[in-house]
Amino acid sequence: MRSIIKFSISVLVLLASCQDCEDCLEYDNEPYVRIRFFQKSDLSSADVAILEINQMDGSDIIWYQDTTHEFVLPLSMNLDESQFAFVFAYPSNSTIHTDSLSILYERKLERTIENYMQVNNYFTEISKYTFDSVSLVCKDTSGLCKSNEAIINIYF
Amino acid sequence: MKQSSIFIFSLLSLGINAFGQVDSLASKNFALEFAVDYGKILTIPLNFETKIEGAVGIKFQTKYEVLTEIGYSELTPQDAIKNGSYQSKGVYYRLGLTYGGEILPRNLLSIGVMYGASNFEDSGTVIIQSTIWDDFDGSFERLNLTATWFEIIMITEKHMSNNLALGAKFRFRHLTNFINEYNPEVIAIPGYGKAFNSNVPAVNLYVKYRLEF
Repeated sequence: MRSIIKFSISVLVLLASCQDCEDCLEYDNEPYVRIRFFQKSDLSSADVAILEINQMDGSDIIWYQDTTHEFVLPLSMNLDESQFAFVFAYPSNSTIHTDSLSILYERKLERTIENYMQVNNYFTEISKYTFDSVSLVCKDTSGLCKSNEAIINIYF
Repeated sequence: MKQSSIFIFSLLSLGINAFGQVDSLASKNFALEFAVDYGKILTIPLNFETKIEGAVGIKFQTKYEVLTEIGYSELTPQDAIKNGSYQSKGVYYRLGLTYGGEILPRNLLSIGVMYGASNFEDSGTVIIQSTIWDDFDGSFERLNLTATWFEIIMITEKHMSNNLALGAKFRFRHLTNFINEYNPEVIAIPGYGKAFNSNVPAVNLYVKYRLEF
């Protein structure tokens, strides 16, 4: 009986861990980019918590409140630039820090194989940021850098 | 098979089999020929696309023909953009040389090559719904577009009399000069077909009137 209960709890935990995470999912129509955070080597992972990521330009503000290390950020279909503000908490000294990231891209209308038009963004440069450093990793290093297939590594 | 394909092949069958065999053609060394693509005209009421095409040919030594074709198309490919609309329209022409002769009494078979060019414009609208921000509501229009291509052509023709004939042209087109770097891509080229295919087959059905000299 005890083993059955253990097994049931394990299954429930497994199912719960497999549920969709809103911040990790790709968007239906909007172009997007994945970002990853890297901390300085002298900080332990427990020292920093990402409190918020908000879209600075846009009619609706999207809030991300999680401490996972990878996020999917939607990019605007109507503007050639998207700006984000990040709020970090340092529990060890009870401070809060804000950084910003501004991304420029070229928008292209492209047809899917189902004949739907969609906006795909291709990065031109990461124009402004207040982090220590930022690097852009493109899937296709020889050609255009499609945002949906790219990752921005953020070091702070 | 698509409904349009069935319709076209039905017309083709009608054109080839409509008349029984009779004596051979009495051909002179020089002839002027005028043709109209009835297949395109017949598809207009079926709400396909607006296409008009005609041809003028100068035939000499009974086997060679210098062929000129000119046409106008307004293409609105169905579901080209499912979340919007698309139209491509323009004038096109083809110039070529064919060689052939009578393989059966009053049945002619020719092969040839043609060079085609299209001057056209396209436009469209796109609506992309957003769950986060304002919807993307855009439109595009490109004027003065040009494309050129070569064709290998095979012509079968059935003569009802010395002056009147029904025929079909089977074409294999190869796009030679069209760099599709537009945003978004051009979808259809009048006189050629789908812009993103560098090779396309095509069939024309025509009725021809011939004047011999």
